[in-house]
Amino acid sequence: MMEGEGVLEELVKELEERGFIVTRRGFIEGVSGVKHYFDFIVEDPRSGRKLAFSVTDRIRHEHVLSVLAMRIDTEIPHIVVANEVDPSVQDLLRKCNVFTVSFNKPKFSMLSSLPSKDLKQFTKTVASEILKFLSAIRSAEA
Amino acid sequence: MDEKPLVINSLIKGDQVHGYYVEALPRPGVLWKILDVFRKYNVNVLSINFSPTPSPEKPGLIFIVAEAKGLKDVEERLMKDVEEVEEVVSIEREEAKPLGLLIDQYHFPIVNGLGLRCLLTDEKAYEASLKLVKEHLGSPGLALLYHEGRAIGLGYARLLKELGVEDLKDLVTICLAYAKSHGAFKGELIEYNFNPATNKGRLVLRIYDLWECETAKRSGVREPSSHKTRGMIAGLIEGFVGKRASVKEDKCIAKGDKYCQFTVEI
Repeated sequence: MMEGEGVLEELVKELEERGFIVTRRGFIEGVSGVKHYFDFIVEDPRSGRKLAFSVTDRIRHEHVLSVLAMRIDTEIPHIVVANEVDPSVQDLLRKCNVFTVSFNKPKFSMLSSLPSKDLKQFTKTVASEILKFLSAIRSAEA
Repeated sequence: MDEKPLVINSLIKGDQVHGYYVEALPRPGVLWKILDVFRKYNVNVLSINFSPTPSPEKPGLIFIVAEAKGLKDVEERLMKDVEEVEEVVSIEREEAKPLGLLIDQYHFPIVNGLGLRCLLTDEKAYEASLKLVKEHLGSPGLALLYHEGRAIGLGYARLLKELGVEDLKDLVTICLAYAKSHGAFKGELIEYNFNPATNKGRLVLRIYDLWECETAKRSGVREPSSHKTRGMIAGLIEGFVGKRASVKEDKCIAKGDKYCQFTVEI
């Protein structure tokens, strides 16, 4: 198993331990009928609410359009985890309910090269971001 | 009915033809009088394009394209004679642009009978744009096309409601005719089953020569390709019935079918 795979496995484990149902490498059919690929689809069993989750190396301006198109089409909040996220892109996506978790450590070439001590921190940070996000949604609905 | 292409005079090779703008008051026989001048000088008129005038007191604009052959020595006299026709206000010649292209510079903007501005573009321009979206954005790009179409469809639904359309079948029929008149496709409603009481139903639309799928087919795509048109149909119906509609393209010329066919579930 590649180290990158290990990162994803750790993340799935962490989310499942926190009570989420996690589908790895899943597709969500959008309003348009187009099926969109996500690295994870995380479902909160209590509310039935889903989060789409992508893991990528970097998010820059040229990626914004396709990320937003997926967000509009699936109508599901989207979290993107990336090594590098351009800060202005982060703000732009946030306004459209697309949340980014960034490490902004360009010295890592993709997640596969994360040292093991960072791996634990990585999974905890992401899981905690998801929890915060779900809690924000619940508060907004209340 | 056998349809024939409408050749608009916005871009034609001008080395063999001359173009004239004639402003004239709309009176019975005025067109005959103008064309009779061309006949008098033995000049062949290839096409005439004119817009409806807003009132009988306001001059209308006629764009005449005539064969250049035989015009060389008589053009000045021909134009003078046209100007002397009682109802004619003015005549102007459109000068050919580089490469001998004759490009209509007088009509602007282009509007439909409702006064709504229409944008004309050749399919090559659309082809390039569709290709770009599909290649650079992948499946999200296809979704983007759908949502762009949906926004257009919602706009048409609003417009037609404002014009007094109250029946879904009338709405679809008008829009199919409108799409054909604007060169987008030729369509027919082959199944209509909608219950206004339950706000549920199923429609099947058969569409021929859909520009979007013709473009995809030329680009080598072999799957249902009408994302923008699907979105337009969805938006049109959703805007009218006030709820989501699912539109699937069951048949598509891009994958070898004879026509494109859409099933709408409301």
